[in-house]
Amino acid sequence: MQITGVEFLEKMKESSRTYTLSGQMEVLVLLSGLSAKYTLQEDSATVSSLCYLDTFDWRLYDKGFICLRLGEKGYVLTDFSGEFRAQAEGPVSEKLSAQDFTGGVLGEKLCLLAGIRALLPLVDIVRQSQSFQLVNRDQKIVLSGSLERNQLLIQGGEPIDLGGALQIQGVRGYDKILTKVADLVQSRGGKTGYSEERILSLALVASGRKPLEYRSQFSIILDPTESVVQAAQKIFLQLLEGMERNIPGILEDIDSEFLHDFRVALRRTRALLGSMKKRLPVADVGRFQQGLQKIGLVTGPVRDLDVYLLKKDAFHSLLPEGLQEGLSVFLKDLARQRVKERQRLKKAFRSKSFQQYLTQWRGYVENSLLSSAMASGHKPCKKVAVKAIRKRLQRIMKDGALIGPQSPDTDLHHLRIQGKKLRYLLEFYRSLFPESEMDVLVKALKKLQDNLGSFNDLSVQQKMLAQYQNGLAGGEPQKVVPVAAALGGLITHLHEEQASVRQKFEQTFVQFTSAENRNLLDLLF
Amino acid sequence: MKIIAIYSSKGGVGKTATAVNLAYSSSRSGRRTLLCDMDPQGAAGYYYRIRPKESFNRKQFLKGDLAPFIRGTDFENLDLLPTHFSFRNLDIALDGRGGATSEFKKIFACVKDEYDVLILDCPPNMTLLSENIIMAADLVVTPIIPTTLSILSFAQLIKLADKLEVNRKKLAAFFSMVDRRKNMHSDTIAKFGKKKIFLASEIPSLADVEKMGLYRQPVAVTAPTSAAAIAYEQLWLEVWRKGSQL
Repeated sequence: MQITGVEFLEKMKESSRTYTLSGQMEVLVLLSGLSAKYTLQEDSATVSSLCYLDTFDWRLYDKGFICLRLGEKGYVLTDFSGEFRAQAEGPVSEKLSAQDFTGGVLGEKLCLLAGIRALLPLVDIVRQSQSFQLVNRDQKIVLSGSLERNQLLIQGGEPIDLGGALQIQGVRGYDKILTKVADLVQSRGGKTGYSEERILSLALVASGRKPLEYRSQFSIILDPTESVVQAAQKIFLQLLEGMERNIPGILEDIDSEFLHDFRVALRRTRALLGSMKKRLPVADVGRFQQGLQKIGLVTGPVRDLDVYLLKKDAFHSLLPEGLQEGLSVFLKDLARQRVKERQRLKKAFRSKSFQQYLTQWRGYVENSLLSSAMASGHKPCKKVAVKAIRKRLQRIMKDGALIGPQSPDTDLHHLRIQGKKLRYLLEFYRSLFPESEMDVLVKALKKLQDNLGSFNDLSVQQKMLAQYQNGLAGGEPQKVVPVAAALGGLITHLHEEQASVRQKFEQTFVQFTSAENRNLLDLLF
Repeated sequence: MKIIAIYSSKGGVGKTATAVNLAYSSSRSGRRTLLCDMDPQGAAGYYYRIRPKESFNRKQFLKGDLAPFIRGTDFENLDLLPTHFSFRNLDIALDGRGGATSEFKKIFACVKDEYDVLILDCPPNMTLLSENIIMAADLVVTPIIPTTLSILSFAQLIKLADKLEVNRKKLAAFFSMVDRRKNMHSDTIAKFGKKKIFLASEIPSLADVEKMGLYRQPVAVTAPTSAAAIAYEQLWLEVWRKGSQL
């Protein structure tokens, strides 16, 4: 049989094999016992220090990617098997985000994966590589390979062995020796295949962590028969843990998402607590609501400023050359304000009363919530969920249908709040209903919320910009006129955008109330 | 795939050294290269430390069953098809198949997707085998020691090409084993070197080239910055430019 070129290329690929080794092994030991025809030639070993990186919410790992820093500034993106997807030199700094990689495939891929989140060091390992060749009596290379060993570095402790990998590459026309070596390696405990993910997981476990230990997305599994306060206890605790986990990142100002995630968890907590008024003593609800509200107030200004500062590039792209400078002055001022607001936030977070509040809240949820619940708090959570969701849905359907082109903005604002409350309910109780149907529903609701959310954001932003503009009055004309002009330009753009979002509302709402969705809702609730 | 034959009817003119070093340069330029040793003495294989597989012989070659017998060299992008003792009778075998001059073209077609460049190290004779090689090649490169007799035998090759109705542009020659201290060499180069069929590069007679037999490696591996390595690199660039224009 004649083997064509393409088939042979496939065979060539097969001639590279990789094995995972668990013990510490020497090439010489691993390959001992081969015929005297072959001689082993080892190159000098190279040692490199590696650091695995990911975002706080494991965005890379979640999508099946691994980012490694080699030495000081070499960066590599691989898939779980360890195959290179992109590599480039990057910044040396400890504080790193995808935006720090200017252009290039690696920068683009990291931007898509990590977004605006910082890339944080996970674990440090040392990788030792030893290349080798087998030569025959003619001193011809008949097989080449490399042996890799990984060790986890622990501060102030002995390094921990993470096993290694052997890669062997056959040479075309010298197949027998490849088979021989492969059999030998397998007989000595080598397992076919290599996985970068395995090394990462082992390193994480050895350093007391695990992949995906924090997710931004809320997800909890409830038992339909447990009481509504039991369910609430679980949800409160998960949300509280989410808040607490984000506090160090907020204090260090690692990226803006720590505060964002914190505030989302806070809002969810407030929404759930607000719905417990008939199930928990009024005094308890009131007391903790007040505290939560305070935290909301203290964290709000920084988040608001973050929103504008994150839109920096978008704002710049909206305005012509002549207005850019004024815009820069404005944004610089916001950045200054942010520094001040952050000081205030940090002080509040480090205050005794804040720490005490969190401790009290945890204590209440863990120890008193169940015992202080009123009769209606002991109803099965599924029953309560169905009723609450149905009620909220009916409200939205009714209110939304009444909104026409002439309706005031406040109607849309109210509908947005209703939508948000419904969204929280769906998220809390998601596990009690069929998954695929809930997915469809949440997606449909999200579309409606996006429309209403954009409308509201644009309205808030215009107000803020106008307020700032008013505040400029009386300033030195040379200084304030360019800023006022830039803000005027932005307001015009935002106004136009808001009008177009408003126009799309009716259509979006009709889609949300489609016969299909209605049937789905009747079926579920 | 471009087929470049290193051919001369005379022996000892530096054919194998040329084939071995040009193949290396070709592979270094990133082109997937196959060096095909047609000379039953097997010197090309010797330089790359490769022996033929036991099951390989003339019969497999003529069937076009080459792929299983190709072996990887120690260098990236460079493979070698070793020769076999039975190749000494290749022309007789070709004659037995009706004396067609296009057999080689068919044989090498089976590796055309796998390689960008095929370099043939040809045996020194002028037979049906040579005719097949000339017909199959995109470019026939002839090393010429600058002496009158060598020029005369090159004239014979041109005659053969004309007989085969092959475009003369497919032929290229260069001066090999040049020793400028010899009047004969300088005079011959002065007289013929300007002719269009001659490449500008020349390979001087150098100890590094002779030492290839000792190190069993291309010159550019043993002595990467040597005059010999640079001369072969130059020659390759010129050969490739000419070959890719055809």
